[in-house]
Amino acid sequence: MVALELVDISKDYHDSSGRCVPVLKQLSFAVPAGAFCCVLGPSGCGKTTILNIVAGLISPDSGAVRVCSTSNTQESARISYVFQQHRLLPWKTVEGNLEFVLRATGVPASEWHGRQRECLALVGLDQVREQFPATLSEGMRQRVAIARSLVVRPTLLLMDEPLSHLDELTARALRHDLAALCYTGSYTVLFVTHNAAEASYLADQVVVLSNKPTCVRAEMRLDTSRPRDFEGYATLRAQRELLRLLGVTGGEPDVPKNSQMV
Amino acid sequence: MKPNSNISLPVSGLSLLLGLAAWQVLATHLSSLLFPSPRQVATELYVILRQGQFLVHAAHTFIRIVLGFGSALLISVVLGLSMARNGVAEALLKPYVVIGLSIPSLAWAVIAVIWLGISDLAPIFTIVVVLTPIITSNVWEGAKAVDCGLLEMAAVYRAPPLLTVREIILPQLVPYLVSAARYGFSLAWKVVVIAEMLGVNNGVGFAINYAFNQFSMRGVLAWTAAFTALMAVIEYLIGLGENWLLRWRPGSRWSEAQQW
Repeated sequence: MVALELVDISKDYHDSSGRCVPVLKQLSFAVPAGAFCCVLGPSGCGKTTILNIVAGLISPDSGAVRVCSTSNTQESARISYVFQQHRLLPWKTVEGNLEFVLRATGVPASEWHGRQRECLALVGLDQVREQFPATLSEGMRQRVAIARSLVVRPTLLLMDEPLSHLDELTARALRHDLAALCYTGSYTVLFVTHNAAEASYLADQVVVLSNKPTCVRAEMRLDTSRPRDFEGYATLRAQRELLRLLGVTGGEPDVPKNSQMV
Repeated sequence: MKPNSNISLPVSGLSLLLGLAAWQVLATHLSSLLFPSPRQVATELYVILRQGQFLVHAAHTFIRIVLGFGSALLISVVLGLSMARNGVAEALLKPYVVIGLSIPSLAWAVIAVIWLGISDLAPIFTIVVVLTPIITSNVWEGAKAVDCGLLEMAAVYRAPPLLTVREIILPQLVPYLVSAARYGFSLAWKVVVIAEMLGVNNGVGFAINYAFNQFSMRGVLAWTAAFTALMAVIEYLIGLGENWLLRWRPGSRWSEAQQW
């Protein structure tokens, strides 16, 4: 079953001098329910624009977005969004931030407490419920943002390079937890990144984008078993393949399999 | 908190004592009619406090401040938000805000008495017209600086407009409102005294003017000192409220204790 479908999406922007810059050109792809789909593309190719169109923040010039609800057709699809920056409300505690989206989406108040606990436990943050975001580390704030996106039980989870602002060690830990969280197949994820290693580690499906005006250059399915090893052979091979699809070739020496680290 | 906060209190106290001593020295060399000693002023202060005059006049003044300041705050939030959200409103109101900022408060006090006569309305009107441009420009600045990222977040979750205003826009205005309120309040009690001098027959401004007409320098100083002390206490309380409202900010006294 398809959870998300983009059909012939086109979008132009106007730059400061009023010139028309085509960003997306007849972009189409589909994500099956429960899949982790990475959208991989060069910087500035309009990846965030795709997410914003799916989230309904901006409308495409032409084309259609279909988000299908998995469980119940009457219930409209619920979309969550994890941004590059955490975008937490600094004047609300961790729990208050979760409460905001629960209230906004009309979840009955009787369910709030249980859901908050459950989602904060999922991201390993049940200790800091009463704290303000300013007192947390950057990685913890992004974890809270992820908990906030899960607490509304989304049918579709959008993520816009949520790890790109973290230092590598923090990003690594969070990436590992994210893979474990989404591997269960309870969420359909659309995850935007420019990092081929990240895509090869996380994704079931990778949509490789071209430069502007952006269209789908290639699609790749990743069936390697989970849990995956970030530096494992299968992941590295997938990463190399993705880089090739991106058009990044040369410049990287072909390391023989049995070479020694110097 | 700054590292030298431990010594700032004793040093400030010492400075006040030195000031009092200097006053005493000057008073002994000058005519007590023009320059009464601290002791004489303190005696006068005791009298006005004891007889209950201070409480009556200060209450009148305080009610005028609260009414004028409250109205100015309400008007300013509406005007400031409209200016930030709407280009036409901004273009319409901007010249008045700029002009309003530069009109002397004494001019307004005189105008108020001419227009409204000897009544409670004159000082209240004066406070409103003096404060509104100041608070409006603060709210306007604050509303322009609202974080669009947070608004987008709210839009993704389809937050109703009222919830967005209450939980996302207003909290971002709070720091601007608080600084406008602090400044506005300190200005309000300076303005109200002038307006009361001209336009009413009670309040602290009236009492100071009465002492002036009696040529009682002691009275003038005693009334000024008592009212200043009262306003200092109120400003301290506002400061506490400010700290509590902004407790989520890094480095605030409330959040410091639980810094990660």
